[in-house]
Amino acid sequence: MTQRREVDLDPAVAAILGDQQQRRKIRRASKKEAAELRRQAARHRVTLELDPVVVRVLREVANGEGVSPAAACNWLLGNALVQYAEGTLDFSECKRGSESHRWAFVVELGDLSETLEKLA
Amino acid sequence: MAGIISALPHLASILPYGLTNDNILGIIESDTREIRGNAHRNEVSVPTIAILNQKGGVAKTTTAVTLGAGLALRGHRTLLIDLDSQGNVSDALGIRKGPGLYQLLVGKKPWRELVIPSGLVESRRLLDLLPGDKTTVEAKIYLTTQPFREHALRRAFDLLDQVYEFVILDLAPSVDVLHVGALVASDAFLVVTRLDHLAVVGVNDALLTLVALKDQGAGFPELLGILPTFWDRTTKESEHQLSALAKTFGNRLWPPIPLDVKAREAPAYGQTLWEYAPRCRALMGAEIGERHIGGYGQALERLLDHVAASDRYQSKHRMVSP
Repeated sequence: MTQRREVDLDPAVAAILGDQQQRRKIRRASKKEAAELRRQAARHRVTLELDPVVVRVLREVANGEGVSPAAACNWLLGNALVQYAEGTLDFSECKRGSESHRWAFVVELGDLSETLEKLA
Repeated sequence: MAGIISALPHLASILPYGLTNDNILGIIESDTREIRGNAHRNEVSVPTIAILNQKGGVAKTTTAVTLGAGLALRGHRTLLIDLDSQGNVSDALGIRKGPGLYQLLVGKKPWRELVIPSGLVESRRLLDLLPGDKTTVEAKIYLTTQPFREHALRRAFDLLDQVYEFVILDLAPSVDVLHVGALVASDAFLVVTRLDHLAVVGVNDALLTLVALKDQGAGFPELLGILPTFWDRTTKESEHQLSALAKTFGNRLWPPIPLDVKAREAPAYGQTLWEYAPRCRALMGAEIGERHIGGYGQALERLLDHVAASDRYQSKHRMVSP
């Protein structure tokens, strides 16, 4: 009997293998199921990229409102985007030059992080 | 030929029977821990990384040049050494090939006289090259007649740390005295592989060579990682090979380099990928959802993270003012 063992993977490699698995599922599914799987896959999961204090506060807000964290995130983020478009939200002061090839800047939470810690 | 074989007296006895990939990885990792106290490694006091696979055409040269150029762009003075008699590193950089390696090993000229700037553009200011050409073959033949030939390269690179922060060695696919010498001179190695069966067999062969080196007591570079190239998300072969490599090598498997025609075009213009197509898939990675995954940009980050986190380099790695 083959012994299964947990294998530690680079997070990016794990993401690729997860994506591969998803695509395999879609290939093997019926037309209706495949459409539903594609719709679910199109919902972008970004929790791994969020600052831990943001995730903590988000979960507390969601619990307090009696909604899922995803629903709370969608609503809060949507409103923030509207404020950004209106010019009432500006993160230019939090931007710093990035050493990464992929992005020109990184965004530091700075004071916002401390404020959120107090809310958590 | 006999001289080359005698450089690897025990290789023939290392057969894959009974050796699984788990065994090989275990042997490599345990011996890497043992040799951290090895006195001779302290003499080569700059991270020296060999790029290898015993299969040709897997993008070793592209990887060596792209990582080397990427390190230079990040402000790290880097030396690229071409150990392949095809001299493709020079081709990839748009420079004339030269007998640098031959003159180093046979002509016994100091390396400071032989390294050349990789180009006049600002992006290559911190990138130098020790070029190779067909005279590298003569250097190999000469080496086979020398005592302690496995250490010839290591001896030739004394005091490199006074100028460079990184040394990248582009190895030829063949296992010969220069290949062995490069591994003895290296602190770490990165195995590059296409996602097809024969190239993955080459990964196995490369690791078996390292096990054979262990038997010779020649010192043991650290496995940096396995870097898959020519990754095509749409093919089952890529999918299957990537999963198999992940199962075997775990977190030693680096995010893959997507298949990208730009990687083939850049050498034709004598440019690095960073110069030719700075936002191409081979550098940025493939788009999966909202993220870019893989690519040489991520490989460079992995390399720098590894060096920063490793005890082996902490006391040695320092910024050299340009």
